[in-house]
Parts: sequence; structure tokens; C-alpha cells
Amino acid sequence: MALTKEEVREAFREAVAKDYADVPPKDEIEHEFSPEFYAKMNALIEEQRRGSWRLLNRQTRRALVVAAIMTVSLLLTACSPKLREALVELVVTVYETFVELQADTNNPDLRTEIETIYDLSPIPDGFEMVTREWIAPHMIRSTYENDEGYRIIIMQSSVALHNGTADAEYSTVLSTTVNGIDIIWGYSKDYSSANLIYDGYYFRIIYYGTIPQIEFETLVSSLLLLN
Amino acid sequence: MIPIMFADIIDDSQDLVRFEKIYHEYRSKMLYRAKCILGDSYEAEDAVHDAFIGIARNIKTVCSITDQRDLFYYLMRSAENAANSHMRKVKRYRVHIPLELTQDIPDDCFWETLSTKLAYEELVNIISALPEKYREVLYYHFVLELTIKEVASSLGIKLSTAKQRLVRGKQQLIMAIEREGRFHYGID
Repeated sequence: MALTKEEVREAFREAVAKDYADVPPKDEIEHEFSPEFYAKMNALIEEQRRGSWRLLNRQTRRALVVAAIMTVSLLLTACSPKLREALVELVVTVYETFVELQADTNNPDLRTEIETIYDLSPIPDGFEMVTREWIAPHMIRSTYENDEGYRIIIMQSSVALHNGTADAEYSTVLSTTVNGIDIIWGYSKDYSSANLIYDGYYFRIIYYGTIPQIEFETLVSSLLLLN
Repeated sequence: MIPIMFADIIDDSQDLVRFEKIYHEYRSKMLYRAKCILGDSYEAEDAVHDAFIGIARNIKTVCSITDQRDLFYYLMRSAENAANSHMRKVKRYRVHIPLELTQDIPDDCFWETLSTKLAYEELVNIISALPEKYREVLYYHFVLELTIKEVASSLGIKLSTAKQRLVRGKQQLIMAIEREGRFHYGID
């Protein structure tokens, strides 16, 4: 009796499966990935987000010394146009080692394009803006660097058009409320991030380097309206 | 402070989401295979990183793979090929291929031969016995249904090399079936 094409394909699958029968389940593989590996993979993933296949320059890990004292300031409600309330609901799908997050696109308060650009103020000592680029009509990215190669990246985008994933296996994830705004923080080796929704926009602030948690929180809180 | 999961903000590319999912789910298994070849954890990590660079470059192809078993094979081969590239190069000897073995078998004839000349288990055994470099090309082309260009890109080899291995892979499989005494294809 003749085999179908699908049966022939199954024969191939069965044949190759024998070669990998010894691969254990992920949880039984005892290996702690090195900081260098995470750094390289974070750089690669970041490159994909930029739409380029080039690797970023690798950053040497060093302890951060932050001299500036940030002023916690979220005075936007006093000096900016009426803000949209953050009524965005997020659909969070939790997997074993990562999380997928999607915005509720049915929410009428979501912005579909960027009308106001937010920025750090003051810019941390030693840092200067090196690029500000529109990744898409709904996303803008600002990059700051200092002489030692540390980077701060601020991504602002309209919530309606975004989703993403995050490593939840090797990061510490926390949630706080600052001036009435819920912020979700992620801390891992040499990588700190903050995610928040404000004025109908989704913000993600990333610090590549080692920074004390309180100083990173202060940095994030300094997000102000850019005129 | 309440422990809670969070998500990164990325652009709206589903490909990027898929890439990150693959990274989180399979990096340990890919490391396992690379370490089996290289014997060193740090070199294996480098190999896995190189494998992910290749996966990123071919993300459209990877996203087209819907069967989880196919995806697993693709990723394992990516890790193994990257690990092999890290190993010290060995001297290769040119092998003379008889002229008749360079004749290509059309894909439709190849399918018909595989479908009608053997029972399922016999076919599995013969495929298992094929050299890996031919089996993977056949798998990518006939199971994953990749074009030869996509096969070459996925494996990180030249297009001419991919074509050559596909031709020889089909030849080797047919010859193996012949040795089983089932039929004579007509290669004299």
C-alpha cells in the first residue's frame, strides 16, 4: 500500500527524532547561563527591535557610580494639557519562563499615534542623548550614553499597537505605584527596566549597566514633558 | 512590592515575539546539544549565540514552521551546526563522485519512489542511516518545504553546496532503497 506524502514526512520526523531522544526536559538541564551570554542575547534581541542584523558593541560590565540626585517630579498634571487617564487593560499570558503582554485594543482611550514626546529631565550626569529616532509612526526611541558606554533607552509608543514578551525566569519582577501611576519593574544582572502606561502611551525605560534600584526608580520618575 | 510578571515593549512584529519565545523555550536544550559536541560550557554558549544569530536572520523561515517537532529539529540542527563550526577544522579530502551520481532525480519522481517502494518502518530505518548532512537537507526541503535558497540560508552553507547535497541526498536515499533489493531505479 502506497504511503501518502504526509506519511513520508512522518517517516523523516521519526527518523530524526531518534537522534535527539537523549535531550532531557528543559528543567532537568543543569546550567546557569553566564552574564556574558545574557548580555550578548539582549544585544541581539535589541538589534532585532531596531530592524538590523548588526550586533551592538558589547558593553563591559562595571559598577555604576551615580552622583546626580534626581528630583522626583511628575508635575505633568500641572503643566501639561489634560491627560488621558490610563484606563488600559493589559492581557497578560503567563508561561513557564516568560510572559506575553498585549494591550486591550478595544479600549477607546488608547492612542494610535504619538502626539506628545516625553523625556528625562534632568538628564543624568555624564549622559547625553545620542539618538532620537522614529521606529514607526507609533514608536519613538531615545538613546543616551555616557563616556563609559552605559546606555539609557526610552521607548514611547502608542499602546494600541504593541505587545511583547519578557523573561520571567531570571529576572526579579516588581510592581509599585508612583504618583498614582503603576509601574512594573524588571531587574536582572546589568539590566534594569521599567514599564508603565501614562497618558495613553506605553513607556519602557531600559538601563544597560548596574544601577542601584532606588536610583533607577528616581531616574524613571523624572520623565517630563518635552516642549 | 508585589511580585508580578512584566513584558517588554517591542515593535509590532510577530516575528520578534516568536523569536523571543523560541529563545526562552529552547536555549537550554540548544546548549545541551552544543555542549555534547564541544564539551565546554562557554564555547557551547558562544555556539548557541551564533545559532540564534542565524535564527534571527532566517526568522521568516522559522515562523513558517508550524509543527513543533519540525521546529525542534530545526533548532537542534542550528545549535549543532554552530557547534561544529566552532570546532577545529579538519582536513577534507575530495571524493570523486562517479558521473552518473550527479544526475538529479526530479522531486516528483523522488516522492513517488519513497511513497510506493517501501513500507513505513523500512523507510524510517533507511532515512535514519543516511549521513546527517544529506538527511537534514532532505528534511528541510521535503518536510519543512523550504526552497533550496532557504535551506542554504538556514544551514549557513552556500547555495551550490545545498543543491549538491540535495542531489546527492536523493541519490543516496534511492541507492539505499536499491540495496534493499526492492527495485532498480535505473542508475547505471
